[in-house]
Amino acid sequence: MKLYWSPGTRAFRVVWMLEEAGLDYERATVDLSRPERGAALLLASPMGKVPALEDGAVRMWDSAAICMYLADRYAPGRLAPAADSPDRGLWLQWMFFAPGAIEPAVAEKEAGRLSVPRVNGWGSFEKTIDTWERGLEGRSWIVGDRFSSADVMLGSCAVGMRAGGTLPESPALEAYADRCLARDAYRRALAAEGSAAAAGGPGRA
Amino acid sequence: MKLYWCPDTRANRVVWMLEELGVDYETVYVDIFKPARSAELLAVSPMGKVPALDDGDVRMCDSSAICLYLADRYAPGVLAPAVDDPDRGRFLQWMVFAPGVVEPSVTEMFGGRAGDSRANGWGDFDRMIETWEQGLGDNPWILGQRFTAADVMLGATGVLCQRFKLFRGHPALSAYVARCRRREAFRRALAVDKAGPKSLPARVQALALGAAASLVWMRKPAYRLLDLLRRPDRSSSS
Repeated sequence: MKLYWSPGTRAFRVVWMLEEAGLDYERATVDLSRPERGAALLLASPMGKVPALEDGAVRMWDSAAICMYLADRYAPGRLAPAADSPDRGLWLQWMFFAPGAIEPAVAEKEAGRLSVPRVNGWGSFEKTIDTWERGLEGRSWIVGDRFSSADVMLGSCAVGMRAGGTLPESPALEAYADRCLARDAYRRALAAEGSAAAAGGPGRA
Repeated sequence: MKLYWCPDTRANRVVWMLEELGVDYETVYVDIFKPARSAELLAVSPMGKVPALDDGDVRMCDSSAICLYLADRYAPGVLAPAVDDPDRGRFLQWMVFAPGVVEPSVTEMFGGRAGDSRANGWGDFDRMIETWEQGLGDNPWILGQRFTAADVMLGATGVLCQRFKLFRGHPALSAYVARCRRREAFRRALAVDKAGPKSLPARVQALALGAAASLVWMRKPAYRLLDLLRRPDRSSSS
């Protein structure tokens, strides 16, 4: 299994995911500061973005899709609830929450654009944060109080937003980020990320 | 199975999905133009948004998540490639593409302010369109010859793009949307929407987005000018 990776990007969350799943993988470093991209990367990731994954005949990109794929394929029942589990719906809902709500909401707020809460799937930045906080009320992890790949997605957002200064004052999300940082797999991923990321944090998660 | 729904929202893609599956369901109308939401809906959808689904023990919201859930649960191997199918990766990637790439890049373009295309997962509008076109190639559906839940997500999002005339100059994407519209299940879903308690012909939702976009554009004349110069075909439609 090969992960196209670059430090300080959303590829970090896939490294964390691979460490949680205990899988063997190799990393192919992509130099994002240069405009050109290798043909092998473009085959897996037409936009030339990282992360991208090669797993046998499977070639794909997008961190949320990759984490869903890995969890279902290699850690079913552990990092992803089974298709007939009552938790399956909420797990999927939170898997989509990072790319479909948190990230557009943060970008909209940072750009200072007018929000149209009724039309936007994410409502607004404030609604997104509020929903996230309420999802964590009374539990340590977002789905059924059991750690899952949804925590990899959301945890990497919380840590990244804190490092980037976009996490609002929120004891619940701060504590959630700290719980993620304390995981062994997270620490292994951070070590793998190397000194470049250690200096700037997993940043642009 | 109960679907919290309102015509002319992202709930119609779930109706389409349910019609593709051929499962029984009932729709519960939510008047999104009133601020009040029932406790019942809020228990399923904390933002009070539609669509939201109540399927026995499973209560969830978000149209992409619901479509993926339904496909895996009720049509595995048909509307969703199995977990060990080589197409599974691509399938998931396109399931995320609609909410995670198409929607933010379109919103950003309407907002008239270019984002950081390197940092944003969705890149920008032009790269989104190019990626979608490349993904389709000469195939009828996004995974090739097989129709899947990813086509429900992309097709429904494509219908919205077409409403805003964003596919001008992109015949492959227009043809893709036309193929989706020809499906029996799509037509049945459209009929559900049209028969809805408040299927507003004025397209209030479209107007809201258009008005918001104009407001922002008026405040940002430089961006508007740039956009006009760069994309004459698209800006004329807004």
